[in-house]
Amino acid sequence: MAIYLHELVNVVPTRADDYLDGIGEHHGTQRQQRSEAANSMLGLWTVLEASGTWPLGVNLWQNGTWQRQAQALQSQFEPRAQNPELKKWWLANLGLRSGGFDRILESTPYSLDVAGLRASGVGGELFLHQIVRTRAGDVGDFLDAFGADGVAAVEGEGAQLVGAYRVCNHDHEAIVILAFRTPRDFARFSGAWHGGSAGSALRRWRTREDAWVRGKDTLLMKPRWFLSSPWHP
Amino acid sequence: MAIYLHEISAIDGGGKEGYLEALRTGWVPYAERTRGMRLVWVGSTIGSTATWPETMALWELRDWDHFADVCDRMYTDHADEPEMTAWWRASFRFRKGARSQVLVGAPWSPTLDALLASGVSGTSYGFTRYRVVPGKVDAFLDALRVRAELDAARGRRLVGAYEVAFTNDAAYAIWVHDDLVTAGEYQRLLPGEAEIAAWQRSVRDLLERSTEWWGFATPHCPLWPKGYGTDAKIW
Repeated sequence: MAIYLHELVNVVPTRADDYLDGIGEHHGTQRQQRSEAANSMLGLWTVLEASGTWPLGVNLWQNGTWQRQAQALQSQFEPRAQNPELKKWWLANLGLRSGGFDRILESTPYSLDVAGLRASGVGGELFLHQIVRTRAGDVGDFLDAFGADGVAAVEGEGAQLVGAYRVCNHDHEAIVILAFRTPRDFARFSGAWHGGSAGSALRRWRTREDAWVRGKDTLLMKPRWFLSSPWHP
Repeated sequence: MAIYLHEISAIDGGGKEGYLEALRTGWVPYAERTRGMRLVWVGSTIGSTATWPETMALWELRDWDHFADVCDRMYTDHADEPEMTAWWRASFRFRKGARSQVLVGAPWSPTLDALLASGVSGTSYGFTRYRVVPGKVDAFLDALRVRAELDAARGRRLVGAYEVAFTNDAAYAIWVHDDLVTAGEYQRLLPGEAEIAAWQRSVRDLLERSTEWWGFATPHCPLWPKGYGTDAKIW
């Protein structure tokens, strides 16, 4: 399964777009030099002041394999493999962010990669980002059930699946990201999640997921860049 | 079904008075005029019970369509709305950031109009977060209705009872006391209240724990007591 790097970044107030553009340009430029820019950036989002911590940026990079992920880590930490351009960017942009929390994700078989999402026309004006907590060891069962029943249920009420991922190193976390083409689609989904008829597919899924889900942290996001950017053609 | 946006702002140093004044004169009238958002509550977190310095605001929205529209027009750094952008950027003279939650009113929870019509008001508020057994939020909110009746008989009235949106384990409630003295008196009597203890036992299979912190309204809060005029600022 494909490997992704997921970052929650504490951006400096009013500098979220500057940060997202800055990291996008650095990442894309570096990848272009190795002819690896295409399909390497899934999304760069700014979080809305509606749910969760704010201001916050969310980055999701497609690294593909553990080997490529390891190379990315080596470029920061391995003494003989450090990338001086990365160090220069990192130190020059401390005025745009104050810290963050990163996770390495493994995709599910039913989640499309960047090329697949682009080919399928997935996208939207609003995104729902959820960190789902389960009991230790139950993440796989939750993600399997979400793929079997949940995806069709959420997509039947106006959402599009961006991806569902297992969080590596955290035996109790999954991340699910949904896209909504318009605010009206988001309203339809939210209304169905909270107030739809008891027999609807979404309500049935909501009840079923209680077997695994022990809590969720939710963010509402707008895309700064999704699937491509000026530096990720 | 009314939707509520609950925002908690982390204040930078001594900026609380300035931020509350900026809200009163800037964002509150602008949000009401341009978005139809209705302010239910605004004030300070009481630091002796919670994180400080902070301010909190609670907005009422008609339904999910209204909420989605508000989200679509929310501040981002590339928002094309000069008046909002100017206010938002200027607000960082006073605050460092925020954390927020979306609340879904329980079917029996009063709206702002109902609160005003029934004369609910006070200066001192309890904000209670309930960690519920996953999947039991609806059942817990039904039980909370009973607790609201018990508390009303003890001088503590319900402002609202809510499901925390997009979770399966969190509920929220806001309570009002006339003032800080009555809030303290309620707490003093609580350990000896047999009916409350029985209620607590009745929700043992629904509720894992609860945490309450207190807030003090500002004089321009819609639920500030009528007739309590003051020019004092909350600093």
